[in-house]
Amino acid sequence: MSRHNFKIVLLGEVTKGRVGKTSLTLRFVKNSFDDHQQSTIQATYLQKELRIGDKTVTISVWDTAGQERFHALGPIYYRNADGALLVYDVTDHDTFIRAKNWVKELRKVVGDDITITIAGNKSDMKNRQVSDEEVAEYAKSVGAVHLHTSAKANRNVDEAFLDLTKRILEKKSSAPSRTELLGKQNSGIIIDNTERRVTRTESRMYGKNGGISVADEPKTTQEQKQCCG
Amino acid sequence: MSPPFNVSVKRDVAYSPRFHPSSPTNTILVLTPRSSRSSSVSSVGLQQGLLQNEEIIDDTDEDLHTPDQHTVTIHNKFWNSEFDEDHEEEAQSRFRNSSIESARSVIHNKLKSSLYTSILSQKEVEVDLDIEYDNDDDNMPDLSLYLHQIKIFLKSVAEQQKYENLFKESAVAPLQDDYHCIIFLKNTSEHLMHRHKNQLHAQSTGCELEYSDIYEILERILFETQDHFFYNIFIKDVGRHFNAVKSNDQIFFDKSSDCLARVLKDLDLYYDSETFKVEYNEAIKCLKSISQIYSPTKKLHCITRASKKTMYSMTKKSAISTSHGETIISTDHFLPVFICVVCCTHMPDTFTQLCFLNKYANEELLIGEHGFYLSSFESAAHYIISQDHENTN
Repeated sequence: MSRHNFKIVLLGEVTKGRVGKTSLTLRFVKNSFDDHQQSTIQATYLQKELRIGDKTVTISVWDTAGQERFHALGPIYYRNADGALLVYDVTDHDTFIRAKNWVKELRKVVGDDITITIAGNKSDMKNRQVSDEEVAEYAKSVGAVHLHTSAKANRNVDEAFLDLTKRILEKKSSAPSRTELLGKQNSGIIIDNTERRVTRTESRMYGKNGGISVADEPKTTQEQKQCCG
Repeated sequence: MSPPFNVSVKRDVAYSPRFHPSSPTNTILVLTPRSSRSSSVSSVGLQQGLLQNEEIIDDTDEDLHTPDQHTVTIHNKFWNSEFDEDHEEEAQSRFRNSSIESARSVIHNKLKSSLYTSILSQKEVEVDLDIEYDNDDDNMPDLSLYLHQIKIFLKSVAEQQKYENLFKESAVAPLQDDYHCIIFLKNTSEHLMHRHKNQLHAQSTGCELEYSDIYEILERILFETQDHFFYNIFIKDVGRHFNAVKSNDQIFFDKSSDCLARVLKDLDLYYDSETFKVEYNEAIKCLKSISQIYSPTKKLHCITRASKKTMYSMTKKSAISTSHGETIISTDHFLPVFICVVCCTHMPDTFTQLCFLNKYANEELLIGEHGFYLSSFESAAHYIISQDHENTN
């Protein structure tokens, strides 16, 4: 049995109201909806273990700050993410526009490696502003999956996370896992290494998508300038 | 070979009246050495384990240490504050879970420090672990071999790269091999784990050393021994090869001294600077201490601890309910407060530390919780150096 560890970022705009991205994760991880919560729940980072087929997958869900003033900090959170869950509010068309911008930004900064799900939350509400056709067509055009969810009614929440995890898994299944690589090793010191490791380590060493190790990477340097004023 | 001592968790203590949740300290773990020879060793190991776990464990009472019994005193963080009797039931269940978890983490740390000590002391097989060996020689962990390999590795890297010259300001040696260190750590950890998988756990408690634990041990050997030789090199290198890091350090240091009040206001936190510093003192102090820690994993633990302390203080003073009237702390609530905490640290080397961790920390940990709080720390630092600028204009 192989083990996997995926990082999923949760993105959603906070302007007038809240799209409910935190409620969505809480519903998924703890199966609760917060009406009268007695104790404090830390929902900044949550993780859950899933069984998919014969595989055990741990997903780490990173909540991000949705306020516009923190926008420039986004890349620091979503670099090296395997998946992104973009949450918008079906009763507020502006939040959908914002979700579209997130997709654009993710594709630009992280590339095609990231698996995206768009979740139209608060689908239990009647006054919808975002049409099914519009959103379905858009999701298809960017290679994302769209789902209507409701944290309150517990609708499609598990499905959203499970589907995202499955798709990440499919994407990764062609790459060898660590245990497979391990079988090839014999002695204690192996300075030579496999392709996968070099890629991952180098991307870290040379600051691809990095928030601060960016000195020799033009694209991110620009972003840093933006964020440093 | 029989285990050098027994580890037992007194599960009943949480129920006993002596261990009322409102009492600040609770004794929950008893270690009983089998022989006097091992008692001194395990005492050292225990102390090391305790140091790593300073949040939960407040102190060990020396007087309680008898030749045949060690008693560990555990300070329960939940009960540091005023105790609300109305929530006693809920509180007790929380306490029970947390104390058993604490005990497990003590045992876990004990395992780790034992392995660390034994690799360093180059003793073959005399591992102070609760391990049941089978008599098959092939399966014995030959730890001295690893030490030997590590030493050769350190020496060869140092010679090849002429690291010594880095200390002389004139020499600019490209650190091409820095990622070799990481790959070395990874491969050795994997190998060690893979080969001795069945032996790296304490039978009686089900605690097990995992890949990241072994990585941490090797990391400590690399960064903490030899007068922090490698740590000093790497931390210097970070500043040398990323110019932005040094200048950002300076900008952060300059700006963080006078922008707290403004940042508090901008982020809708209704505090004056002094009150904030007092209320979040614990978190600030904790975060500041990362400069005095050498191992990347321990630095990450430190940042996570500071974040948790921040959230704890937030609930205590219900800082969040002022804005949203609820008790769930999401990143929307946490980040503004944490930005101010980071601002208060007023550290001269914030970006150097961040860059060092992004380069040298165990990347498995960077996917998980520690990675999340590192990113938050990084975000906060970036926010401070940018936001202030805007306001000055």
